Amino acid sequence: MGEAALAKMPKEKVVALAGNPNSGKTSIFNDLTGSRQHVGNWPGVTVEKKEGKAVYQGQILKIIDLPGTYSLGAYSEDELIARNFILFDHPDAIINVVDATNLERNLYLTLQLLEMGVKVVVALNMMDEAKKQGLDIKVDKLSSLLGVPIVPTVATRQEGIKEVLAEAAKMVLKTPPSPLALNYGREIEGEINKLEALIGQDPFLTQRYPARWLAVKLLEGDERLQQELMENKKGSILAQLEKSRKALATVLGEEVEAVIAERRYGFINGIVKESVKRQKSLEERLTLSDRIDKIVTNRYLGVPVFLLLMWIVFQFTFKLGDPLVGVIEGAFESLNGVASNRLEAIGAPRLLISFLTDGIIGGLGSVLVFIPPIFLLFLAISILEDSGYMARAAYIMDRFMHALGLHGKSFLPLLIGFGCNVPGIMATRTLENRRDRLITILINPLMSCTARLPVYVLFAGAFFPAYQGWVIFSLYLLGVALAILMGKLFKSVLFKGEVAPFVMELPPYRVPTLRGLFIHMWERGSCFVRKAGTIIFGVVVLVWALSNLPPGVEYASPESFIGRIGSFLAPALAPAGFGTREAAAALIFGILAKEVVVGTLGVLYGVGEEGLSEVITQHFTPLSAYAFMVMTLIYVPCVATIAAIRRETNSWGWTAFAVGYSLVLGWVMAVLVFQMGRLIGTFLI
Amino acid sequence: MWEKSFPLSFLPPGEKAKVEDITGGLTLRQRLTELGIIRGKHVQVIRNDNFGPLIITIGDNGDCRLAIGRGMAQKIMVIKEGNKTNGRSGFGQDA
Repeated sequence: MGEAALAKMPKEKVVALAGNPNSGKTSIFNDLTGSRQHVGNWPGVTVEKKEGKAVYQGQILKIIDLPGTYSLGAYSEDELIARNFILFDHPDAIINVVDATNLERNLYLTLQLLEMGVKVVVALNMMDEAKKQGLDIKVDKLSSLLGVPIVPTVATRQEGIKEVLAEAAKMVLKTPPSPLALNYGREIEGEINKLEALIGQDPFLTQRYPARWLAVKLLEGDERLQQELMENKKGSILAQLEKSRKALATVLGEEVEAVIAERRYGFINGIVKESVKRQKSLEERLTLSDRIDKIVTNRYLGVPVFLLLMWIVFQFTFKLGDPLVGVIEGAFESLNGVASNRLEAIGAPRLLISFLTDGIIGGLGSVLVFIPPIFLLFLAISILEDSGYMARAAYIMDRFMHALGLHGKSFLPLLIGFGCNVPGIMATRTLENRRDRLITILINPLMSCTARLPVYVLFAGAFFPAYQGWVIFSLYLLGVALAILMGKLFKSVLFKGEVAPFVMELPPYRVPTLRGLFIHMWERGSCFVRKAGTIIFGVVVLVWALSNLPPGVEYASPESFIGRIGSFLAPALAPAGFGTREAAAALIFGILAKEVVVGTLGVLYGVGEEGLSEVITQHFTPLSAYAFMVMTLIYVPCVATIAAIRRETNSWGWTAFAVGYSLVLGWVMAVLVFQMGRLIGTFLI
Repeated sequence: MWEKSFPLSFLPPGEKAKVEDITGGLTLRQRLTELGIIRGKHVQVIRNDNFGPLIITIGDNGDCRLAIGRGMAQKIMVIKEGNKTNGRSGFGQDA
């Protein structure tokens, strides 16, 4: 549907989805919106924003999927996004997805929504599993105790979805309820009242926040809100807050926020006791999940099982993907041939033919070849995530990755990087913490991807025929060592003080639904094609132009722009031992895709790829050849990787940083190898 | 029953304990609170390999499993409850 058409309609009603991670919120979102989804980013952050439309009796509801959170504090970016959306975007209703098998913790979020005074419909999800566990939930009772409509659902089977939608459609027309005022006990209530009175006199604050809610949050020690008060010079409220917290600490003998949390859980506990009956005792319920976990998280078996699964993912992505990539490459080659023949036949100018075939068709081809591995990878990741295994993998790898200063979940993206950095970087989406995610993205290009292999094979084969395997292995090792080093460096320099404690839920194992898997794979994969594709395509066309202009020059000859840039840059590469125009130009082309380095050298030295290993022995020494391989490994990620970094960090700044640091690091390492090698050489001789 | 509190990280698998205090900073306490780990809650250690994260369950709801970093577990002070070694005993420490 076009944006213009939407603008003409009467103001649409907005319904936001809130809920804990693993509560089935995504499934409910998929059920409600079907394929009418749009994925973007929340402004300024890397968190995904999903929007969709649902239609109920002709009324269109805009559905916004808020990030999955356990609370609405200011603990994480996710919580703030959810909270700010509810406070400032004023959705017309909120569907709160609650995991029926884990009521107490899920209702903690529900309670906070009610304290904000928003219109809530609860989707009580996973009712089938709750029944299996012997939980008898009296929905009507729970509904009347909480004072909100509750609809039992089984999202994986699309049960109860229509009813949820109907309740939400009714809810958007109602007026907001007054905020739930939980009794926090005489002492705390006294201080809440004082703060609330002060806040009530301030139109700026009352317009933004429910007064009582703000008072409670301030007493809880919410840093964001205190900061906001400070910035807006609300000194009297802050002074009262200081006084209140001190007074309460003395009276209560402990932290206020702990007491507030206890009261909330106490209230929830009371509600759950009245509305839920357990028909089986805990001991009877050694679940299937526990039995799987006995093997999967086992001290000795955990790691082998994990490595086996990673190997399967790797094989699935690249072994299954490579033939498809071959098909796409072949198709584009023949398309190229047909197009140039046709164009020659009608007498089109040579430059135009080259532009259409090498530029446009070649550019499209270089985007499309990434589709098979990326879609397959996202399918594999979706299976691991939706089944519940991903959380276990993080648990198992955390002890090892911890030593490297990274999160357990960083392992998979780095491993995938050995196949291709693009899906590797996209796989960092499974990391919730921004710092871990950025570091994993930044060091990912140091994982030597398969595209760099042809370069190693050529040079190692020509210069170190007896030790080819070892030379190539040393480059992989160098990449890993540098990744560890840079990871530590980034962590201590760029992200100082941002400590994220490791705690995560291990949801019960579930069989993923096909529908869920495909929606997951599709939205992530198509996003790459749209966003990264345009950048890749643009750069391919740009490099075409540089090689063929000014008009009349031979492709990539010394007179072409690229040749001139090569000659200009060559002196800078001299300290690394390969200060030639050809090497510089090949490295520039290598930004398109690292394997292009080989082909470019072939063109520039005027031989095919067959004669290349002969020719390079005249232009490189074994030492400068090794330095050149080191450079190829590290310098500037390929354009597709750059595009993926841009897409995933949602920031040109970080993208520029990734390009800049790798260029510097590559140059330094290549120079270091060459100069150290020379030094050692002179001593030996 | 022992009355002395000690860090959760020392609780062997299969054993239950009551949370007595959380000694970390505000951020840590907030995170634990929203996950349902507050004072007075019962926790049971499912897995504790004496290195790396622990796996625990909280409260009476025995189906929620949490993986929790050792550093965090060191800041959760607990009091041990009577040994329970029935069908629900944890696993881990297979050696």
